[in-house]
Amino acid sequence: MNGIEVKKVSKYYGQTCALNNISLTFEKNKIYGLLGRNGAGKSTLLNIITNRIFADHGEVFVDGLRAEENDKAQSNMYLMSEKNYYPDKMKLKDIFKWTKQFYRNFDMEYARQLAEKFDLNCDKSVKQLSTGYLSIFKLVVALSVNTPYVFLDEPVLGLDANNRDLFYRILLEKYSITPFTIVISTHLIEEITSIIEEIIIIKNGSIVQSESMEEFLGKGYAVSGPAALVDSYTADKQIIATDTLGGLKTAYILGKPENRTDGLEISNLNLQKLFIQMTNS
Amino acid sequence: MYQVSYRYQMCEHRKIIIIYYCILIGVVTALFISSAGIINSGDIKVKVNFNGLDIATIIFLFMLSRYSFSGSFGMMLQNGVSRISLFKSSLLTILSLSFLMAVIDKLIYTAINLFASISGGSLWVSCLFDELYPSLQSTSPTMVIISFIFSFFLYMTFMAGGMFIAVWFYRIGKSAKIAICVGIPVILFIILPIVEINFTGGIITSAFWNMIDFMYGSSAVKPMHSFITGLLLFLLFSGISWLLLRKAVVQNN
Repeated sequence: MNGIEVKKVSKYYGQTCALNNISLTFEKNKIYGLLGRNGAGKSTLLNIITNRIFADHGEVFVDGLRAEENDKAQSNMYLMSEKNYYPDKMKLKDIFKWTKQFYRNFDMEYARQLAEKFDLNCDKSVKQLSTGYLSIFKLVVALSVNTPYVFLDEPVLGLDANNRDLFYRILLEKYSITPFTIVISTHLIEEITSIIEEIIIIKNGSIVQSESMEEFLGKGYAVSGPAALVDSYTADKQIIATDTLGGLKTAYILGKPENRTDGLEISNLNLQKLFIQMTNS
Repeated sequence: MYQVSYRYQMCEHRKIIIIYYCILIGVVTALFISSAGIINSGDIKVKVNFNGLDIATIIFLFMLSRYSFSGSFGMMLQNGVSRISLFKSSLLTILSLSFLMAVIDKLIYTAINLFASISGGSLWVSCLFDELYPSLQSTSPTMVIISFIFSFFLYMTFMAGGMFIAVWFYRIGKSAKIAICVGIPVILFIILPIVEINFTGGIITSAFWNMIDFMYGSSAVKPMHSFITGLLLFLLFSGISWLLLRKAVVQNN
């Protein structure tokens, strides 16, 4: 059990601290949600792990191998980043061919099938793709490389609802057949709630939460019902957030629910509400 | 991993090299056809000499090396190739392309001169080697090999120089790039001539040309000087390129 170990990593951009002495582990065959507000340090962390930028302090190990400037360690990872690093003029089918050269387990046939499902024309060059299709293309590559660790940085950028849904279904289907480690960094928290097993929240370059979704969402609960009843119930409780619609109210509360919930409905905590509460400065 | 990176870079350059030679051969053919008209137009025997074709190759290889770096760098990091592997493959690419293009250039020169001699000997081409060492101009196999080695070292020096500038420009900021692009021509073509005319009496320019003459052994007719110069410059440019590349990171803009 090695996985990816990030040990005491720090990164500064001038006076700005992007990552502050971060330590964490990405275990094998798990789906992680890497969450944080804009500029929290998510992309910086992923770029350090995949050798695109250097940490000022600390080290990253992939299955026990030092990740920095190590071809063997890097060949076990793939990062789909927001920015495109493929040659603009290259056709997608040629990029698939080259990816096969770099990643021996790249499944060309599966890539073609995915491209067909997403209606992606592989005869086009990278520069001919719209933002959405560029994301689709990068997702197709990421899902076909078959590396033990895949990082997806804003994977659904520019994708319409249909394609986002298709992507999540394909991801889970692939994961159920051959599990691998997937780290999804996104701002669309609601959409990944049902997918992720582990959650990592970064705030101002530091990890403020790293645990299983079950544990995380077990920190609190939501209570819904008539506004007056909800107010009465929550009078002595720590409320994260509330939603009101007409005479109905939903309150998100930290702690364990009481047995006495007459006329109220108890449900699981909303990840997005908890995330907002934790990352609001 | 550097083997794949090497294959990628060679493949990337293949198409543009083919285009380059198609243009070069087209230009040479056009020059031959037009000069044939001059030669055959009167009773006076006219000899037409073409040169500078290898200078075109030097410029081409320099630009190729200069402008291919950032694309390859991003592609390699996207595919998990380390900087050291990219560097190794880039050096291999430089050596391979320099060798290959020196061979092709020599074949083109030989073919043109052979054709020229068959057609009456009024047309011929000379390469940079012939210009620098006129007394060594010969079609003997030894001289052809020495001329080939000269081209090979020269090409590889300029490709390494192109790589150095590419990595250097990749690392520095926009304002520094502008300062260099403006500063160097201003120093060379405005400040230096003013200083030379008013203060130094041409000593700097003269020393520069003397140095170039020594580096390439032109006056002394020692092509070996150019081999050593080429090798040293190649090592120098490559060394500095590595120092710059080893800490290069992806850019977000």
